[in-house]
Amino acid sequence: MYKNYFKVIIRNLIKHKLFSIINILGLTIGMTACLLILFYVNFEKSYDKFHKNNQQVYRLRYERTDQKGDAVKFASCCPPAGLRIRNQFPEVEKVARIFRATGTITNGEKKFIEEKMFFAESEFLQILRFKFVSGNPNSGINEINSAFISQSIAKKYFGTENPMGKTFKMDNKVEYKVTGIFEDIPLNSHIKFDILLSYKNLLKNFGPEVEQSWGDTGWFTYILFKSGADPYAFEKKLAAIMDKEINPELKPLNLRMDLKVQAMNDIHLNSHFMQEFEVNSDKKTVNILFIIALFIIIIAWVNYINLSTARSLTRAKEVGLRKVVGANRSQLMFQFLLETIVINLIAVLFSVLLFELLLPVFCDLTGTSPTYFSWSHLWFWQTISIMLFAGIILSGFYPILVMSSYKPIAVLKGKLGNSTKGISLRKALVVFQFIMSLVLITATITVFRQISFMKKQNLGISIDKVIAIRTPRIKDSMFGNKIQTFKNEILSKTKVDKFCVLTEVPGRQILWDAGGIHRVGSAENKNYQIVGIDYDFANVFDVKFVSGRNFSRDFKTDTASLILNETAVKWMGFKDSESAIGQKVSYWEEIFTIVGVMKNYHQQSLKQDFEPHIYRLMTKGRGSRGFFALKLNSQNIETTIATVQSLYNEYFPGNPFDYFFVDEYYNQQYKSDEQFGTIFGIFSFLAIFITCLGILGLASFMITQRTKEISVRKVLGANVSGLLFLIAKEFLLLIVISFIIAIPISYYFLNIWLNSFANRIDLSIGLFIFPLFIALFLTGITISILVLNAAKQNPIDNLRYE
Amino acid sequence: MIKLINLSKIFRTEEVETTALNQIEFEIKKGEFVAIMGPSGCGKSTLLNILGLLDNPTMGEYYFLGQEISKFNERQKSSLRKQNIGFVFQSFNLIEELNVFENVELPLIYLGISAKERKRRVEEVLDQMNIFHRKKHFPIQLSGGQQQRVAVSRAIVTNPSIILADEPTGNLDSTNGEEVMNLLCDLNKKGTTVIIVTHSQRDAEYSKRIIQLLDGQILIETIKA
Repeated sequence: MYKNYFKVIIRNLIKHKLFSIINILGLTIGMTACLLILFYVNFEKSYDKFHKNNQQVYRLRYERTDQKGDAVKFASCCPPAGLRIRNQFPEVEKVARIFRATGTITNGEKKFIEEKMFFAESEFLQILRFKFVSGNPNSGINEINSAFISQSIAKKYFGTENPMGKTFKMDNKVEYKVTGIFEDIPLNSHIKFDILLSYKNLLKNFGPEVEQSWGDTGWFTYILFKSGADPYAFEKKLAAIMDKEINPELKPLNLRMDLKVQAMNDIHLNSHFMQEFEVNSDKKTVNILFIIALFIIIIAWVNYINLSTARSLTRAKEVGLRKVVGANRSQLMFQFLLETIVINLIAVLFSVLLFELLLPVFCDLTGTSPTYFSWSHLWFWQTISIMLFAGIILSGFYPILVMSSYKPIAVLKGKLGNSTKGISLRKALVVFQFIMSLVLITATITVFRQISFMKKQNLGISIDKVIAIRTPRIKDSMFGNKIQTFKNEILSKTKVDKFCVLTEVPGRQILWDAGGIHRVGSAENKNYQIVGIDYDFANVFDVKFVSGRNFSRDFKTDTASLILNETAVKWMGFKDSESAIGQKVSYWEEIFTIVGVMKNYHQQSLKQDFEPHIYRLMTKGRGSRGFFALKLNSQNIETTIATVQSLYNEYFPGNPFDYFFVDEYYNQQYKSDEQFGTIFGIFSFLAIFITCLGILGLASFMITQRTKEISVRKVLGANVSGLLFLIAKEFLLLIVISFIIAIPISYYFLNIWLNSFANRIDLSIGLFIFPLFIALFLTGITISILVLNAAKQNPIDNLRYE
Repeated sequence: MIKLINLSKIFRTEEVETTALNQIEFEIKKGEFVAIMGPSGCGKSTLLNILGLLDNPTMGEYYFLGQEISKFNERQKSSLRKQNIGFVFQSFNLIEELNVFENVELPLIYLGISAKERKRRVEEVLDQMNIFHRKKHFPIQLSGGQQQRVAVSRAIVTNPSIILADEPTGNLDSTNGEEVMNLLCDLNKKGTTVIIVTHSQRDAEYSKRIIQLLDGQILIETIKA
């Protein structure tokens, strides 16, 4: 019996090629899209899960709250917090602190600026157990001047040599000995580093007193809890300690501090605090993509339902005959079920192949790693089983029910017209598909328009043709003078128009965040973002002053002057910019005078609102942090940069010349949005494509059903456009209905999405109408091809078969 | 074998009520060869469908092999049908996706007969019907007469006690038509009850009893000596 079933199934697939191709192609695309998106979703959810005991690892972070309840929330902690906890609580197994480092690493001729470095306590690698190739992770960086490096760094600086026991220099000052090599940190780790340095070196740099400073930040603190511990009960204990030991001291400043715990597993998708290692992903994005995956597979299933029920009419004869010769309903149901299973299995097979083929491209696009995937992953097989099972049940159930219910007598007599019930169901399903497609097209266009809106906005500063060069880290005592002569030479010898020194270029969050600043006479402390600039900052970036003046060489007192931006003026509680000029500000107990107010500009992407900035005069940059910003003028930018580089190497030997274009750097902020837009676009396109496939199938079926009608109409004088309209009008109405339903759905969800941007586009009518035209256009083309084909035939060919 | 008492069939649409069969009564005994005749629309095909358990009567009683089956559900009818009745249609009604052998094999499959036994029986029937050499061909590759021989093969492969034929020669030329009628005659001689619906007086001549229908009622019954 099975042999007979399979024979019929295979022969049917071959005989009705169009239907088979549409069904299998639709399901394959749907399943592949689902697999790829679920790969992405799983990758995003896999962050940090590779660590042993990952569920017991927490990050300790802190928040500073002012009297109004506005809190600055840090991803990091103060140095003493970790010490206060260590060995004091039974539920805490281990505590470790790390601190970010940046520096120029040299080994012989090789020198590069490295930014992915941390000073780390030994316990760090007992909490986060990264894989080691050699050395002892537990104790290897106990000693001062010892370091662990990644395999890539080993290759970069030591080539084929074994680096163990060898040394490299940091900023030409400290010599570190390599005591361990670890495997490169996997992409799905919230923390990524290339080099770990002994914590003892940090203490040597900052002095041991930093260990007691509750005012410092940047100490990322990890806790490994004992199993069964309750981290949130522990957090409450910390609150009590802070209220007893620390907060009374902060009371005069009107500040309070809180320590919070945060599960490591939650960091990647949920953590968006100050000083994060990288911009973390958003759970919302992951959820949206998951919903799209569902949409696509549902559209594919709907196609299957539509096409099979439509086609069942032509198969009715087979059903009737089988019944006449003795098949009962359950046997027929089983036969059709088997057919659904075979089609779904073929689609699964193709989609697994396609998935394997497309994975590298997809990973490239999404910034995920193909190496994360393994055939042994449970989610993969679960997804496949669910898709198969759900697909067979959902898409097979209705057609099977319809087909097996045909009355043999009606079928054999050819009485089986279109039952109106079947038709309205098919129409409802098509409307459903169109709604999803329209919503997806609208969303795709909105995402891209929002991104381009943000990119085109007036930032309030000019970053065009500005390059930023990192200030030298290897300095001598003459550094201050050297900057001045270097600047003079650049301006006279190269085609650079303007030059300035500053601590942070536009394009990312300002990491220098300071509390304890208030107007003299007011007790209200707030956090401000501090930028160190020189006299020419406003010139280079073309920033406008609202009132007051720029820092000037004519005023020797300007080292004690401040410039605010408009938001900072508001935060300090001044009536307007004018009234802020000449006012005194207490900045960490030092008194500064406000000399100017700059117009607000967008330091960061337009997602963020304006932040309060305070500018201080720092002509040499600040410590190791700083950039030279150069406004170029020439057409011949490459030569200019080459000249700048040779001057840089001459003035600051031993320092790598590391530069970037500020506008490119700025636009990188939109990379994740663009990535999201691209993925969204691709999958929306797939959804529309599958919908069109379905339309193609349905229309082709309708035309076959109506071949005779078309022929009769032709004989009676109908022209092609009339015939086209005859078929197209069936879909036209459906599209219009879908359009009306899709508008409020799109409007609701897109508004939610757009509200997460401080600067957003409005939802215009065009945004909704355009997708309607796309849908009409694609459907029109699909139907035209079929109708033209049918209309070309000799009408009598179709009339003779009676 | 078959007994109808006061049997009626009424088709209802929203506006029209058509009485296709009106209080029909007759009995057919085992081994009979009966022809049902009458003009188009007289209800002969409706009658055949009810006799073949493909349709239910609206009123009246239908005894099939001694059981009153007018209230049987589809499953019960299907089971009776596949064991006892073979069908032959005017338009052959072969499944296009199956070849000759497979078409004939189909009823045996639904009877749950083993593959080996199926092969034996199908080949025996195909041989008997003189179509064995075509067993790998698909319906579309056969002439009308050959197709009808396959259809008859399919009808008799289960050894049904009754064969219902709806205009079996309607789509055939006279030579092929005659051949099919002879086949049915032979089967009848071997004991199978045969009921045919036909327009053709010539076909009706093969039978031993002719029931003439008009407007859903029996007009005349002729029994040949």
